Amino acid sequence: MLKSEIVSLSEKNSELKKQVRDLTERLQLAEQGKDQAQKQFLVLGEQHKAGPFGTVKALRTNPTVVPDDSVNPRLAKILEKVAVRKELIVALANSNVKEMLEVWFSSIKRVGIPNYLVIALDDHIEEFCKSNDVPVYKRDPDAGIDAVGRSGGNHAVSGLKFRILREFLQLGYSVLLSDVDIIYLQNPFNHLYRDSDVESMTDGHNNMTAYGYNDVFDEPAMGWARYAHTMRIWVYNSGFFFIRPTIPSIELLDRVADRLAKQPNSWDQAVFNEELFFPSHPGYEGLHAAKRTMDFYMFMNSKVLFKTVRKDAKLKKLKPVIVHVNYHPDKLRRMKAVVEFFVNGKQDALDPYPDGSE
Amino acid sequence: MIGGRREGGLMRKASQSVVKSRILIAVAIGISIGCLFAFLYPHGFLSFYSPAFHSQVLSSKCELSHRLNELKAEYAAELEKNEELRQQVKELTEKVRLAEQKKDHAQKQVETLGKWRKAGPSGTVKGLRTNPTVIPDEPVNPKLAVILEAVAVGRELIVALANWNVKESLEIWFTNIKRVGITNYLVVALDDKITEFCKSNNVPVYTRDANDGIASIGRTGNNHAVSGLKFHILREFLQLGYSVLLSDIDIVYLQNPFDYLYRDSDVESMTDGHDNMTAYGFDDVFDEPAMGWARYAHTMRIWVFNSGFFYIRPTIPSIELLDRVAGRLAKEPKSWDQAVFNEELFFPSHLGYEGLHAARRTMDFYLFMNSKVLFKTVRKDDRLSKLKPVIVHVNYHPNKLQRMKAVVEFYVDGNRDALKPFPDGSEWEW
Repeated sequence: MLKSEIVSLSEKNSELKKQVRDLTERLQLAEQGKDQAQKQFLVLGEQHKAGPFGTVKALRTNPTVVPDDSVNPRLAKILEKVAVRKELIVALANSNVKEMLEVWFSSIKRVGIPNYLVIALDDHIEEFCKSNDVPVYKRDPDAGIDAVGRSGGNHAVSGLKFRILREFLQLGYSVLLSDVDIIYLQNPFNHLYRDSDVESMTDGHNNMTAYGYNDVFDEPAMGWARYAHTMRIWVYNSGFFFIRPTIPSIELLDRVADRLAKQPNSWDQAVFNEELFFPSHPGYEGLHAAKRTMDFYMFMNSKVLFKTVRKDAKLKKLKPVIVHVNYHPDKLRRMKAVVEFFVNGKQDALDPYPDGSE
Repeated sequence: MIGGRREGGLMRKASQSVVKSRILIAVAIGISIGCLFAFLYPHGFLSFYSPAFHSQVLSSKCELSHRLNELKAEYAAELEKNEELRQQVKELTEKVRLAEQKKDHAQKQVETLGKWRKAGPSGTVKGLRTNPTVIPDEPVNPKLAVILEAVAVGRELIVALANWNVKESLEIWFTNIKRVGITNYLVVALDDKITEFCKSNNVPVYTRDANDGIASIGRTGNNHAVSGLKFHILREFLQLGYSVLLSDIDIVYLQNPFDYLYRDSDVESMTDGHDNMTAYGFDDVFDEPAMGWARYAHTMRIWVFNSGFFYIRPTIPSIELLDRVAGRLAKEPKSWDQAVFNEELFFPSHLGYEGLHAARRTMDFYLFMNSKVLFKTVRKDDRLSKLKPVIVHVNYHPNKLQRMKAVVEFYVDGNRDALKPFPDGSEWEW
């Protein structure tokens, strides 16, 4: 009996010995792999010593990818002609928004911006653009995208852009993605920092909401620790943002496109922001992309305009770069009123409109 | 040997008393001869193991008992070896896990750098989250470098700042660390009494050379002022190439936190949040009915990182973070370090401000538990109260010492009533 126990013990021991051998080997391999990678890294990268206090600055402006024309040669040719310094305004449009599109490109032309492109989601719009001398691009037929593009409501079309934009970035172009309910009053390219992966306009309406603040949460029952501190910021508007062709940017587009495909009721603006803002946590690897919030008086959303700016004598005199009629459903009318106000100088053009809307 | 046995068989037929002594003598002779041969031919006997031999009582009895002892010894030896091997396997498994984690990170870094290349197809593109570490720079503080060399394990360690005000909490703090078996921890002593106290309790301690502003705040400052110091002091640790798990004193350790870190970001921190939404971030919809169609404004909201417990890797963005926080605390005298820490981590660049670009990870709030989660939720839930956290941070309550002791009783001593006397919240009960 004792003998058989000993035999089984020594069997176990030889098993354990084998495990130890395996683990030791794995450890060696892992150490080796790590050493190799670290050596490669030293050669490829620049490891620094940290400088003294106040001199250390991390890289915010990620390197761009190497352009890959083979991704879409036809688009590459178009972009080569249209883009200026490898950047351009891009908008998606189907026939539903034809009238707004007209106001949109009229304002662009008036400001004298040459580098813009309409991605036509149906033939009618393509024709319309061509006949108005507007740079246009129609994708090769793709069942999924085309179905949504032709008949989709504004949310569905909005989600498309993340899939479509990827090619632009792969070709090495920075894109200023623009909704069609935007009036251009100055050339936005003169006002960009270009120092982040994503530089976006905000849905916020003052310094706190636009740029972030500590929104203190009060729970009196907690007594001494009743105040919980929270970081809060109004979302980036996924209808107007400048995105550089970097790895994190492309990763962002992929993540958003992927989630929109998998979670049918999701809204692209929400997903766009969540991927940009949430840190990693158990079960989720966060995106690590550099962000910049555009000046909300320069890149103005319609809440800022109608609730604040038009009522203030000094702010009224400001000339924004763009006005985005995002906060109101009667976009076409308000767009025209904005043009009247800022371009034609009619000081009462905005008066008929309430702050909010029904 | 064989002769002895045959004699034994014949002996049984003789009469009692006379034979008794002869038996005894024969037995003695037999045993000694048997043992002699057992000693000389330990294997030989076994090979002759047949039923005939088995019936020969005397030398086989000796042989058996001897063999028994042998077997027992063998068994004990195998058992010991088994124990050793098991321990080895456990240690190796842990080492392999860590090494593979490091290798992964290093490889990802290389991949990203090397790929000044084309972007791959959808789903294959991944940006680098794990920034490369700085080259260690010993001249920054040779005295500290020597201490860290001795104390750190895998170039990482727990660091806490303490002055005499928090002596009692400190005692609970290091007692639990020791109990868990963590060796890589260090107290940065802000006054001499604490230095003495640590030394006499065999706690690794580091006392800065007395210099100006830092020393005086350290000695007399209240908890907010001392809290701000750490950003200034930690910088040197990072410059020397060490990852730091910054720990407040009001924390009870129940497991080794180093077994639970991802090490894939610049800052990996515990949260002040109390559920998935508040801890990991959510869309806090803002309702403004007057806006009508667009009444709902969407906002990104997350409860702050707790600047009393975070793991920071020695990378450029991390050092920049510490500099920014220390700089602002110095310039804005009324500011609170936790607020500034979070603002620098979270706010994007905007007009007049260049945002920090650092990778962040939020720690699991059930494993790295704040006291609101414990007292408001976990202790009342049957299943959650069976969880064993890695640490419990008594951040949400002012009577820290009392609650820390209760936490120890609850989780370590198993006293299920230990938390009952305490309310969810608290008054200004110092």
